[in-house]
Amino acid sequence: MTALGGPSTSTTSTMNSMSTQNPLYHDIILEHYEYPRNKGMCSGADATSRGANAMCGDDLRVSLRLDDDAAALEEVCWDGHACAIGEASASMMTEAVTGRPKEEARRWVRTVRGFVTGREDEVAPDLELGDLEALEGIRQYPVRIKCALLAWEALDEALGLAERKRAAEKSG
Amino acid sequence: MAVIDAVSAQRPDAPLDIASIRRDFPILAEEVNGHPLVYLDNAATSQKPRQVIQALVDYYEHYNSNVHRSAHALAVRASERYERTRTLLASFINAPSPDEIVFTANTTEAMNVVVNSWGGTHLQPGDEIVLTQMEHHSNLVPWQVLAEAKGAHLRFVPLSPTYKFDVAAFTQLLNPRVKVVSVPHVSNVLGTITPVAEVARLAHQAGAIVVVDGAQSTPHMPVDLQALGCDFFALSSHKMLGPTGVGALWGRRELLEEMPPFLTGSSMIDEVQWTRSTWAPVPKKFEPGTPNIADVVALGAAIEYLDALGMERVRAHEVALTGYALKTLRERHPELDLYGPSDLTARGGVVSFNLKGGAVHPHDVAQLLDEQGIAVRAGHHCARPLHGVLHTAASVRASFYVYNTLEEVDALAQGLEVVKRVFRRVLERPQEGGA
Repeated sequence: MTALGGPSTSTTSTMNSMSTQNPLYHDIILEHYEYPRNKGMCSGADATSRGANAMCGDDLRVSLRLDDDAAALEEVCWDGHACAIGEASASMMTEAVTGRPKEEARRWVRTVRGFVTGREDEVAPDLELGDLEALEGIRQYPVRIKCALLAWEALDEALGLAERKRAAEKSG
Repeated sequence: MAVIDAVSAQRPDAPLDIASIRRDFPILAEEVNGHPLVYLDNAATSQKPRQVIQALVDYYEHYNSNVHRSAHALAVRASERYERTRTLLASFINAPSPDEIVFTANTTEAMNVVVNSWGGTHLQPGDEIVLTQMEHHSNLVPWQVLAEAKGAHLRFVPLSPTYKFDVAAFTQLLNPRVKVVSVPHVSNVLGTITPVAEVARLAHQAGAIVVVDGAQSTPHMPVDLQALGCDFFALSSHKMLGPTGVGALWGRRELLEEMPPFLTGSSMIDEVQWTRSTWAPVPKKFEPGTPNIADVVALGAAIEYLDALGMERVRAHEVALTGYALKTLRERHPELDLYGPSDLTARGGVVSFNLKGGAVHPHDVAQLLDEQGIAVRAGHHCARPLHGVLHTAASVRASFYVYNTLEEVDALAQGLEVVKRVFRRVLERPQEGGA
């Protein structure tokens, strides 16, 4: 299951048409901003990583817990404050990678990086972006790339930290 | 010589003719995202009148030459124009002498000259440096580095509940260990005007010198150094209709004379031998290498432009704009957190705010305003610790200058309606935890 939660988690907008016309502030972005998924700290987290953009005051923390085999991401959470793009992307990130194998989570990171920067060759064809399609507008606003990727870069780092922690526990 | 034709059309006893002034600024005719440019980011940098742009072009087209080094005609002319700006600036801020004006790259470099050159030779372990909570990083970070190196301590004058400089709290901080007090003349976030004359009087009584970050005051109001009574004053050309790459440090002659140079090399020397050199007199002692000649010349044109407008009138226009902005924003957008004093006599034309405690992130506000051609700034505005005092990570900042209009304030207010529409559902929710 790679789809991001399906139709019940995002509004296809008939109301508020103002925002669907807006290339950046798509209804999906606003919906995730208003109703963020997996906000908070993961219980029993294996690692937490911070993504911050001091210049605009964005400060996010991504925490995650691997499953017993340390093969998949059992739970992924995010916390902190960022702009609508940053928070929506964080929310969508947690939906995309929760329950997925580590390798797929890493492919997600590469895919989203490629998607928002217009590097289509980096986008894995088998991963269904779903709500993340709403980030396409970022390509016209390079200033916001860092916002869109803040949680994803933190995820990447947290994943590495979690793996090392679990490997150390195993050998120690 | 630039002909200031539009400016000379200003009637001497009347308020400024803003429409006429706007015609002098080519960039104000630009369109952004299909909208007329509404430039409200003047605290970051100001736009340039064609008189300044032309001065730059004239220099490179007709008399570009290195200064002070040759006897040929171009060099003589370039040197004259370069030094003329020094004289114009001295007069503009009522410095006792042009010899006390040092050209730097910007205010930040000017601060570094004071910190390193004066601070480096006057501070002892245990000494205290008094700053304010309002500091721009350029009047904070250099002092941090100095304090660390010298074993000195930083103290911060707090804001009053109405965002003003708390004079009572300041007097509490004064003691014999305080060697220097450094303050912003006008805060680049709050617009707060520091009562420099009073600060200087109190500081001198306590035996401390006074340094003023004048980057946000010099462009916007009359500055009279002799009335202020401070010991050092820094400013930037690009914030006062001049080009980037030039700033100035004014310092009391006796202080500049006893200070060692900051950067050394050519031009700031007198005699050079193999193993030692002597220094040129002040101000040349602080101007190493080839200066930013062209931009200093163009700054001269900016000073002449402002002089012709009259800084009292520039200030009056900005007071009107700021008053209208505060009133309009309060009426149309009561959910805004407006930072800075309400007292218009105590603030400059900088209005920073957040939308309902940051429920809509400043970055998003600025982005949506930009889509409507309105240029404001979002972030901490190089004053991160100050934002901590404001209990927020970032803010939106609109800042005015002489070419802005009441209609542009209306455009800002209208633009915020759009922001609120896009984020309607977020704004309707009960506040949780704030920014």
